[in-house]
Amino acid sequence: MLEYFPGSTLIHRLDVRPKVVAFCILTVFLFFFVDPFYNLLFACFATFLMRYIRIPTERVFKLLKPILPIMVIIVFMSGFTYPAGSFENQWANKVMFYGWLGQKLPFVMGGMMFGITLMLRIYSMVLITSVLTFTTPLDQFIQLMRKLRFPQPLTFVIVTSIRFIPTMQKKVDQVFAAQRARGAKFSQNNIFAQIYNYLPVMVPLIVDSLRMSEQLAISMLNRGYGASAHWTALKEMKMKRIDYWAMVAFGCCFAVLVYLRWNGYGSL
Amino acid sequence: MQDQPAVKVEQLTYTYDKAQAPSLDQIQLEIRRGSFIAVMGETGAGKTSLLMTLNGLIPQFLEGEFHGEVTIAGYSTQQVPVQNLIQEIGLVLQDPDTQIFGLTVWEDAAFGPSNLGVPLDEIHRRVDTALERVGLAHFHERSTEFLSGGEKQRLAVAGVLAIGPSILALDEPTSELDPEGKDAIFEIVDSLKHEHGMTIILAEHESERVLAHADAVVVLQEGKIVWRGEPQMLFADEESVRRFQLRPPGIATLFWEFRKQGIGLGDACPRTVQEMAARLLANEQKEQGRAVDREGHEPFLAAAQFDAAAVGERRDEAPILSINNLTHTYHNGHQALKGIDLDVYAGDYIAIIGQNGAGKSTLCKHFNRLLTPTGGSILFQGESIAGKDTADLARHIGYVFQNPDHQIFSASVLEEVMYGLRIQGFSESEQKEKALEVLAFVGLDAYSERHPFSLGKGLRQRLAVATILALEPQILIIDEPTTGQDWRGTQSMLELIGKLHERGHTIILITHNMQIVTEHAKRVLIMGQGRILKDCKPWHAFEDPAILKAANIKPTQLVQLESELAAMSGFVPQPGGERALVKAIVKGMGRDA
Amino acid sequence: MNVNQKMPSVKKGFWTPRRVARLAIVIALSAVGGFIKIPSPTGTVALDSAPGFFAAVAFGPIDGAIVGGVGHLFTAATTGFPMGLPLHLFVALQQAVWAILFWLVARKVNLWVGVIAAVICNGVIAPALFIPIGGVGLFLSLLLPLTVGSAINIIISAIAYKIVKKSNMV
Ligand SMILES: Nc1ncnc2c1ncn2[C@@H]1O[C@H](COP(=O)(O)OP(=O)(O)OP(=O)(O)O)[C@@H](O)[C@H]1O
Ligand SMILES: Nc1ncnc2c1ncn2[C@@H]1O[C@H](COP(=O)(O)OP(=O)(O)OP(=O)(O)O)[C@@H](O)[C@H]1O
Ligand SMILES: [Mg+2]
Ligand SMILES: [Mg+2]
Repeated sequence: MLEYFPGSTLIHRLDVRPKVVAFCILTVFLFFFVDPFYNLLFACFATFLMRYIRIPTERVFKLLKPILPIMVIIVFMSGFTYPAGSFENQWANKVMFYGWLGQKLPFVMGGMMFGITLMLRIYSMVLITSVLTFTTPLDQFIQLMRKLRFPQPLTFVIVTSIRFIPTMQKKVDQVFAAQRARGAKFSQNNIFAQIYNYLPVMVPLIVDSLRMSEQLAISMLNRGYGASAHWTALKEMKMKRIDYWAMVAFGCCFAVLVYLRWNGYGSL
Repeated sequence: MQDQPAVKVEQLTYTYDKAQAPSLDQIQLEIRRGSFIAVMGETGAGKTSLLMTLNGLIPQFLEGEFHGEVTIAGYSTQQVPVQNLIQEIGLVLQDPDTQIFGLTVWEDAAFGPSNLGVPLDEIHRRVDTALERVGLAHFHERSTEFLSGGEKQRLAVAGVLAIGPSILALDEPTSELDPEGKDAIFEIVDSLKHEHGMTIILAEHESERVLAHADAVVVLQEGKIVWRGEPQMLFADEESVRRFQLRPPGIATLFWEFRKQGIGLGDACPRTVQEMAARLLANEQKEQGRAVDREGHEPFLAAAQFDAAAVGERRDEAPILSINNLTHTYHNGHQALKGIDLDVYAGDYIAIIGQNGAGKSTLCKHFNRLLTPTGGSILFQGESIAGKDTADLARHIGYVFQNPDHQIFSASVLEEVMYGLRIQGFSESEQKEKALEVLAFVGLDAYSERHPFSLGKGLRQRLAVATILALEPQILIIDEPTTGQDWRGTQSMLELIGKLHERGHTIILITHNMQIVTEHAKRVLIMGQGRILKDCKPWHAFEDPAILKAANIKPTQLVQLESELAAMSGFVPQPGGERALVKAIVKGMGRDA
Repeated sequence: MNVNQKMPSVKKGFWTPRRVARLAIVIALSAVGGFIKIPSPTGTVALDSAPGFFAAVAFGPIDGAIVGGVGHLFTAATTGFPMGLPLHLFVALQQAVWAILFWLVARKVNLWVGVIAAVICNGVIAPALFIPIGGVGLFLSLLLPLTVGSAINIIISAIAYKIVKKSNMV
């Protein structure tokens, strides 16, 4: 499900816990700082991390391509959205041009800057998310849920549904094949026709899922699901020394950034 | 506790929550430790329900009206929770897919013991043993997603064994496997019984294997036990086997036939082909010197069925479907077809056989372009189908899939059939008229207003055929229509297919059932590893041992008996069914005398 | 073997084995639904949220919320979290809320009123909630595709519910 790129960089070797902590800290600061300059720094940092874990460049482009148009729209629309005078700094209130005749629809510098911040935020979030998921095997996230004391059944639901994704994918293929073989067509542009076209896929899938889930419940009981509150964990995660050091380092960064923001850096 | 019976069922009557009639009716049963009991009976007889009462799933999980008493190794299933009973009795169900929880083989086998809080090093030990017992010793780190059907089924057994039960109950564990896979499961079950002293309770439609392996059989019908005893006695009695709707094993039909010809081979049916051959030879020696009917010496090979002439004749007409050097490689790089050449003629009745994963379904999905060839060409009536849409080909080439539930979605049987016609642009009245006609043809007219999901599996399969048939395709591809069906269901499906063939449809049938091959099909394709290994008349299908081995095929018991006899006494194999074989053997005895 | 454990341990509490199994399978369905791409005038629509809405009307609000939320995270994960994890967590939370809302209106008022309410929430209110994160630009670029997409998903789930309900399976 999640793509994992094996590697031996420091980030790969870190435990999932310090990585998630770092991820949270970065996310919080992305929202704290409004000045695009600071967000540019974050974005550069995220880009650096991405290069550091040695992901092929094409992979990164593939990731960013779908959100590119959205990012452009965000910057553009943001310039029109905020009226001049709504910013603390003088330069930010400058009108760059008007979008309509007779000085209507002002495009404001600060708005554009804010739009760039928004764009950089999304860009950075996408990248740091990828750094996290590309360097951490799925299994570690599951262990993390256990450590975070998610309700045990919920963890089980998530693990089992991951296991069932390929099975359901096969079902979907089979249902499509069966419906196409009896002449069903799936290529119209009318929305209402589309709803009608896809019912023959969705209904058998749901019905089959219900049948399977009854079987699955029986199999779970056959294997002692829920027999004892003291089930045995098959794997244990251990924090190494490097993980503790990483935690300390992240803590320091956090403190420094909080200090900076407190003193007014990074606002518009 | 050792002296207690493994299973004791007393006056058990059980009715499902919303059902009117009881699914289990006054069951009285006692199973000794270390024995191998087979539970047989037609669809809906109550086999699964009976197995589910044994570990307490009924009534603890599936509620309903429960009377009587079930004790497992002395523990009452009404007092001990399921999760504890499973340490005495493990239950393996039919579909391995819903029984696998782990992402890797090891994780899956460890699921049971970890639920029970077994210490980790003990889990390692138990899982190792369990995997070894089912022949998956070096599969620990393999991903469960990519196991074959047979391996999945074995893993399902291992997962239950790792919990450490002394009784193992299995519900039709082999129905989707090829003959070799079926044998593998039965061998595992046998070794669990003999080498590890486990008690085995197995629900099965596979009469031949039950006859060969089980110590005793319990036959259910409408929730009642109607027969119990040794399998060789059950199958010796033609009348009971027919009455209970069991599939007669090949050797049993022979045994009955000999008896009708006045040749007694004892009271009990032989359990294996070897035993049958040995008895025949012993009988022959006994009968030596006695006058045997020698009338009718004409060579049997000239029999009418063997129309060698027709084979040459057929090649002159243009094929309806012509496949040239077809290859297919899936996205994951697996080459499933490696150069297929095949001509299908109008009026053919082809059975495609071969091991799981041979490429049978992959091949047929090309005929209506559910799959696009990665190489080669396909001509339908002389015209390439490349670039055509599956939906348009559906009017010419119908494909019925194995699982009818993958296509049923309407709220009534009639609407379900009308759906395909509507897409093809028929008017409302035409849709209805045609749909009713097709429903009458397949024998579902009485159900036209019923909700499809409320029909039994066999009827749903029929409905699936009807939905395809409504479009009146010249070619009908039917993918494993008899899997998991009982004798009656299998017979009526084959009857329907035979009727369609008579009406002029060209039939292509994919199957693991060798009886269909010899008794119904007119032409056989044996596939193995993405190639057609053999394309022949049914009675030549089993001649080449190398091909059979390559395709994991086991000949029918009649054919096996012939080769057994051939090896033992120089008997010449004969084409035809059991009657012909018996006649030939009788004659052969005469010749030898 | 511990014989003295309390008997009906199979049906206790919220997390019955039946519910756990059902959730797992329907979430997996929702994850693969993300791969079913319907061409529409506003771009392709994935059938990823239909199972969540179905679970809400058919099984109840908590089930619907779990399937909707986790299901969204799964579909997002299979495409590599295209908007970044924090945003997808936020969407997952929304999906859970919409599922509960859908259940409430569909069950207490009327199925089709529920459909309309859910489409408005998922198609209009949901993108509006993104304004603080992505400004008006993000809102406008999401408005139409989300409205069309959620309408298709929710209507399909509602019709499927009607059909399946007739068969007494839920
Ligand atoms: N969950 C259920 N609710 C109501 N009735 C049921 C349920 N499961 C089975 N039945 C009914 O109980 C009877 C016995 O079913 P059971 O599944 O035990 O048969 P079986 O012998 O295992 O059949 P098959 O060969 O098809 O597996 C059938 O009439 C069936 O319709
Ligand atoms: N969608 C797919 N992607 C990749 N490999 C596939 C796919 N479908 C089938 N295969 C592989 O192609 C091979 C042929 O599969 P196919 O389904 O045609 O076999 P089959 O002869 O019909 O087997 P069975 O008797 O089990 O139905 C198998 O090894 C299978 O694992
Ligand atoms: Mg059964
Ligand atoms: Mg197949």
